[in-house]
Amino acid sequence: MLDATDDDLMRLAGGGDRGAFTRLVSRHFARAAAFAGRVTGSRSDAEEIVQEAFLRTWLKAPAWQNRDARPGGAQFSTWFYRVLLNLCIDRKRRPIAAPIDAADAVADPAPDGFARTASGEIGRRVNAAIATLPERQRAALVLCHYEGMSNIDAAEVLEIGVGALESLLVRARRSLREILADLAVDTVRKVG
Amino acid sequence: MTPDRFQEMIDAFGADPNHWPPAEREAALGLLARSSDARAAVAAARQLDGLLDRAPAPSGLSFDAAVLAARIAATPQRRVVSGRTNEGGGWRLSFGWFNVAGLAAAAIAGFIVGATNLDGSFGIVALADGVDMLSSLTVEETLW
Repeated sequence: MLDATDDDLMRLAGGGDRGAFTRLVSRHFARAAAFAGRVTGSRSDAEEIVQEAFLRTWLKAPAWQNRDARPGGAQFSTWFYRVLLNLCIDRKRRPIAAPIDAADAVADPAPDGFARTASGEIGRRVNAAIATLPERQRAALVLCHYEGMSNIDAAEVLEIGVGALESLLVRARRSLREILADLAVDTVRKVG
Repeated sequence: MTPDRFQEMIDAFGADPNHWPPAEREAALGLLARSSDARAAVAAARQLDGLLDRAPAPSGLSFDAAVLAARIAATPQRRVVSGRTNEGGGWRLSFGWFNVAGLAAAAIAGFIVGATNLDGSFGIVALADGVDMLSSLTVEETLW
C-alpha cells in the first residue's frame, strides 16, 4: 500500500478501507496543516479546516472517479487543495490581523538567543506581510512558493488560468517587496 | 524565451528554477546562462525568496494524522439519494432532510398567513410558493 497512488487510496477508502484512508491522511496531513495555517494565519482555524477537509475526503471517497486524471496523477491533490482553499476562504473573509502563532517569539536565554530572536523577528515580519495580501494572492503564493506546486496545478486549485495565476503572483510578490524593502536591504548588507 | 518573458516569469515565480513553469524551464535556464541581465533579475528575486523562506511554518496541530483518520473513518459513508453519493458533509442531514424541508415550508407559510392576516386565497398561494421554493432546492442547497 505504500506505493499506492492517492487515487488508488481514494478508491480503496471508497470501499470502506480504513487503512487506505489512514494512509491517505498521513500522506497529506502535514502539508494540509501547513497550507491552512499559512493561508488563514491561525492554528485553531487550521485545525478545524484540516478536520473538515479530511472528513469531506472520506465522504467523497465512494464517489471518487478518475475521469479527470491527468498524466502525473495530480487529480487528488488538486481536488484536496481546492477543498482546503475553499474552507480557508469561507473561514477568513478578511485580512489576517496577526501573524501565525508559530511566529511568536520570546527572548531566548541561550547564548545565541539574540541572533535567533532577530531571525524570528524577520520571520514574524514576513508572515505579517503575507497576512496583508488579499486571500487569493496569498493562496497563490503559498501554493507556488511554499507548497512547490506547478503553475498548472496551482491554477487548477484556484480555478483560474495560468495567466491569471501569474498575475496574482506578480502582484503578491510586488507588494511583499515593497513592504519588506528594508529587510531586503539589511539582508544584502549582512551578506555583503 | 525572450528577456521580457523571462522577467515576467521571475516576477511571478521567483529565482528558484524549481518553481518556474516546467514547460519554460529549460529555455529560461538557457537564457540565464547567456544573459547577465537575466542573472541580475534572478539575483534581485532571490532577495525576496530568501525572506519568504525565513517565515516559519505554522506549528503542529493538537492532534495527529492517525487519530484524525480513525475518528473520521468511524463515520458511515452513507448515501443521501439513490445513485448519488453524499459529498461535502451532506450526510449530516441525510436523515429525513425532506421532512425538515417540509416543516420549514409549513413554518414559512404559517408565518406569512399569520403575520399578514391575509384571506385564505392569498395564503394558499403563499403556501404553494413556499413549498415550490423549498422543493426546488437540491440537497446541497438545503444543507449549505
